[in-house]
Amino acid sequence: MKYLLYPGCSAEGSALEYKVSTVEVLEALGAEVEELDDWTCCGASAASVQSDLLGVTLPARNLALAEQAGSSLDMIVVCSACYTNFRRTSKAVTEDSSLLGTVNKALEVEGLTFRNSARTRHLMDVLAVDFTPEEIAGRVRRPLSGLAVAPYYGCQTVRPFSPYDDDEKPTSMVAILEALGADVHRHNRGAACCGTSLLMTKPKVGYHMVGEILATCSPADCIAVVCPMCHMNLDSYQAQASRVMERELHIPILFLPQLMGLAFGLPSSDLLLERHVVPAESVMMRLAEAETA
Amino acid sequence: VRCPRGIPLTETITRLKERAVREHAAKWPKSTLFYEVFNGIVRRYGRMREMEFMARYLMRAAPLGAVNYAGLGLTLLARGKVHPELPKLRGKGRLDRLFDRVAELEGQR
Repeated sequence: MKYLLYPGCSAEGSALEYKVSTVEVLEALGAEVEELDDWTCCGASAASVQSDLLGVTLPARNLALAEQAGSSLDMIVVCSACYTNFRRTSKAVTEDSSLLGTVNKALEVEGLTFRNSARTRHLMDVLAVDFTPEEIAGRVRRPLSGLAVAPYYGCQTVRPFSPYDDDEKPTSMVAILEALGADVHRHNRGAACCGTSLLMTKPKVGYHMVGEILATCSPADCIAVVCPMCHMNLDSYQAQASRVMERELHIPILFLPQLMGLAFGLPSSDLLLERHVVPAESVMMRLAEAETA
Repeated sequence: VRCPRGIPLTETITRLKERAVREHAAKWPKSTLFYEVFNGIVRRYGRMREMEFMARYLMRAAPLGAVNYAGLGLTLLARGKVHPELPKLRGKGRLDRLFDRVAELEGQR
């Protein structure tokens, strides 16, 4: 099985551990991963505010590159905002054929043509659909026994494009975490918003949104995420969220592929756990306790 | 999270933001600054530079409030999550031609 990978800006920067652990885990599962050459920003939530056309042209540039690289390959997107932008662009040009022509007029300056044939899939989709829980369990060398994990999906992972899971009560992480041997902490904020850019533009509102999620998940030993923006917000603002919520909130936030890598017995140098603001030591201690018990 | 009358909420918010930027950017510069700085960096480098973005945005939005982010910035630097990079102030931007072409086509629509 071979995939293209669009890492997106965050997974190339602040969330590099997400990209690295994703590639390691997919390769451990027998997949081949090729990063999209010459990719650029998808425009996030900013491009479409400046210009409707820019908001579809920036994603279309990358989709055109994906088509050039291999039309039969699915392109894995690890960032939920990028994923939404790619899907939104495909939908927009499908519904409005004149828009496809306009986008291609813009892409002429890049020497590219977008045919709207590229298939983009969120990493969550690929992990939940292309690999059975038995295949994942078969790769486990160090079960996450005794570790309570709260799955957190965020909004754009499942809304508005979710061909693989429920868009309001997602569960696709559960079977994977159970296959790893973890105890799943079930809660009702899995698809709540992490606050995205509000943490910079309206911090007090953002702290409260982060705090609600952390508080709901806090009985667990850690939270598993599949979006770099969610990770940044949940990991980086726990002190501020604690003040707003008037209670101590301190819980490690790990990317799902990092947890998979731990269970697969991959070396920690491949998982880059030391990069998180909230240290993952308590997770490692809990696993060590379970091993010696 | 879903409108009972089927109004596409996210798209509606985006259209309202777009209109606000187009019609009132000069009147409320702080409200549109986030998008202006973000798109400027993407135009110049093709990809986001997180540290440069945070520095540029916070210094213009709230120079005094930027101090509140200093501790987090240092932690992110210490963890290797962000790296200081010198901004490129001269020369053409990576996506200048694409941004210009889109603006030209937008004018024709």
